[in-house]
Amino acid sequence: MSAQINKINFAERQSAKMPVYDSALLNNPALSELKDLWQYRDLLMQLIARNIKTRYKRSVLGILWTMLNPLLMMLVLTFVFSNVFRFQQPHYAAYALAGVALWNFFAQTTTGAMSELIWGGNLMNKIYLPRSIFAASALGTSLVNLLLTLIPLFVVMAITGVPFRPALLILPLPILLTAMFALGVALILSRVAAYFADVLEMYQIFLTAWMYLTPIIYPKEIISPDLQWLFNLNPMYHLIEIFRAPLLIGWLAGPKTVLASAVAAFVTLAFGWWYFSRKADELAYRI
Amino acid sequence: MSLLTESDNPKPIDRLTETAASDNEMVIRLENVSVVYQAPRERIKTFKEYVIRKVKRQVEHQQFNALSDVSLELRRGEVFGLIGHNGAGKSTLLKLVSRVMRPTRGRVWVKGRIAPLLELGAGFHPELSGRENIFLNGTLLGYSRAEVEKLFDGIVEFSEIGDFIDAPLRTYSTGMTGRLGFAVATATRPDILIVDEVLSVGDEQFQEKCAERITEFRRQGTTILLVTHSSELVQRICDRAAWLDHGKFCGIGQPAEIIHLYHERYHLTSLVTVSEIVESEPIEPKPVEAEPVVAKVIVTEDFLAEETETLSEIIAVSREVLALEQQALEKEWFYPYALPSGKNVQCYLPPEIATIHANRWAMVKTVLRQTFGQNWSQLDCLDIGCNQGFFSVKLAEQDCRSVVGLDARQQNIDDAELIRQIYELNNVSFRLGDISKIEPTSLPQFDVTLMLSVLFWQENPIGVLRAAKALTKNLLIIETPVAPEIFGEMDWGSREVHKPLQGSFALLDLTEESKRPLGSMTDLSFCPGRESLIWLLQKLGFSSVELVLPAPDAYEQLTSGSRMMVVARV
Repeated sequence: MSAQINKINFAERQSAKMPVYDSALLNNPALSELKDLWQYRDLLMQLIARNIKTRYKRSVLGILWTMLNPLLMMLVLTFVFSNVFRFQQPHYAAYALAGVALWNFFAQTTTGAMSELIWGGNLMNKIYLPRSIFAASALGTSLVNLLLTLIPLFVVMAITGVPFRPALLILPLPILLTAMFALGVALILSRVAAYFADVLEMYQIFLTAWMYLTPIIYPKEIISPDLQWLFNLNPMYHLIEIFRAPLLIGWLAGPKTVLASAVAAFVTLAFGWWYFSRKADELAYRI
Repeated sequence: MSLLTESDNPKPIDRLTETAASDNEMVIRLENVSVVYQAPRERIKTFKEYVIRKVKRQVEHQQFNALSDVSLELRRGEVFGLIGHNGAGKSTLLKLVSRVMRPTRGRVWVKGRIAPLLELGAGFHPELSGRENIFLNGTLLGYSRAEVEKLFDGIVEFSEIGDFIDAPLRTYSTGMTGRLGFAVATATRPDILIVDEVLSVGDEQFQEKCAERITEFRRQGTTILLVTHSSELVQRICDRAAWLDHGKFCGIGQPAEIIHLYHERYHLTSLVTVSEIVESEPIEPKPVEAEPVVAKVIVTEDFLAEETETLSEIIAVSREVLALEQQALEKEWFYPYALPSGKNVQCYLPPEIATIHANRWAMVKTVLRQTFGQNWSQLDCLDIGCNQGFFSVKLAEQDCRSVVGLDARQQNIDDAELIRQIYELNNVSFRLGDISKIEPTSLPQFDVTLMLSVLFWQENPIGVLRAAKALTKNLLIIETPVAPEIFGEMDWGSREVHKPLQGSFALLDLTEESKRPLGSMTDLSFCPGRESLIWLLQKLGFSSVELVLPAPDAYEQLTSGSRMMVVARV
């Protein structure tokens, strides 16, 4: 033979533990989907790396763009809202940037999951992959972007004189809860998007409306006090509040807000996971 | 040259002794497996539409069996070939084995690591370098990162990429991409190798290298599951073969035996020869599995008794009709019309060929009966290329509300009109028109459109099908001779790499035929093949396409498959 087959003897290792697939042995799709996702964790890393690399490979500013984009948006917002609408929001620049960063994290995860699942449709028809890997890689990609956006956020905080307080250390908690909520929504949408081509498009319109209904770029006080209770129905409102609190107030948000966020995160993820994995093996021939 | 053949390699593979040497361990077992697709009767593409229909309660689901009650056992080291038409269930079976799909009923059991040979470029990203793509593709195939690292040098060496390894994949040639894909997929010996087509990768030297690697895998006990259209290949390299048709095995056994059965059913000898000629050409055939296309087959019922009964009812014939009959008896006809007075017109087709008209009518009647029941009084029908009006008259006799016969020749229209007067039918009219030139909006839509023996005369068959689609509210029934098919793919340039062929068309010279009263209006024809026609009808938006099988004693061309009838439903 002109080229040797690689010497590493996987066959030997496999004979001890040869994988056996039995379609009759699938009792708990939610659990087995989770197990398979863990098995394919290296692929997950590769997909995230691919998303990040390919996004910036052919642009001049490269990864800087991730940081510049929300920063420029924040500058525009600050100019418009502080000078035109004259909001009385202390530290408006940091307030808006924090809101936009977390909102983008959510929006990118949910839309990315759908487009990645559609990209993977061709592959899923040929080889087995845990279907949730596409939602997970969208989440991972947006998480990297969020962490990169924290850099300009901290810069803006330093410039505008927002003090850095020890409460910043609890920042991973709101990020984790938002990630769980976003993954749950992403899974529900992915399953629906596999059946209907226009879901992504419709969702984007919905997303824009949702964004303006959430106090991200405006303080919630501009809404009349009689209507402010309506924000309580919006899970993203709570999640953004608990994300901003350690940054701007220097303490945790109120217990009700924390509880509402946690409930939204756990319930959405649990339902999304169950809903998605129940039909995961049908997605291959739907896409 | 195809990858699995060893035509340049004189040593024959002795399949019996070689597999006997390995133990007889079972690696794949399918137990009474069925796969039922549930699909909305009409394809609902958007969520908006779905919601609207759901509210109106218009979502009807229909099921079709991609596989029904299939059982199969494969042992270690076997090379197993799967043959059958597109839509027979071959890719569904592969999907079950590779865990992509779960059976609706029954059990699938697979032991060992499965490697699919993916189509060119699947799972690669053009912007990433070769190195990055190896890791991406390797982990896609289920390796861990550490495993890919260990395999990395071997992959690079085998794929002969060399210094290009750090260049983005979009700069690679088709051959390089193919080599890289093959090298990653076969970096370790899989227990089961799935080959869903005759692969062609790179130049001949590299193909030989690939063939060697596969042969080596086989020697070490890899089971190979091969799906192909080339029965010659199956016969040459497979230990066993199976023929899948409409979701069922028509036979499992010795390759030669199975292929014989397959050919006998479809009279495919000529077709096979054509695809093999192409195989040696630079364009390699690469059969592409479409989603199951023909979901249902309609078997023609026997109406003979019923038909003769109506003919035996000889009624009193008026003087006017007798005069018209006289005109009819003075000329030769394409159709064997039986006149009300009991006489038959002179038919210039020999009786054994003229039976085709009765066969086709039985087929059309079966379809309409199964769709609309016995009462057709609400149906508006169009008969495209009605010729002397045989089928228009038949439909009118069955009390359809209205029938329009369309033909491009005035002589045919006049003949048909004569028959209409003789039969005293008021629900049928004939008009002059060429389907390839007609403006579809100039006519209303019809419940049923017939297009019998029309398509193979057309130089623009796709345009004609579009026009026919536009004119059809419900059913389009097409009957035509079909061209032999070539499967494979076409080199499509660096970006898209390859385009699969969705079937093929035959280009025919009809200079002679175009001068005759019957036949083409143009001196060229572009005749579709069986698969291309079915695919095309679906592409044009028909929700289902069904094959109408003739009665077993029907005209030879219909039973052999060189002519076929399909029903396309809007």
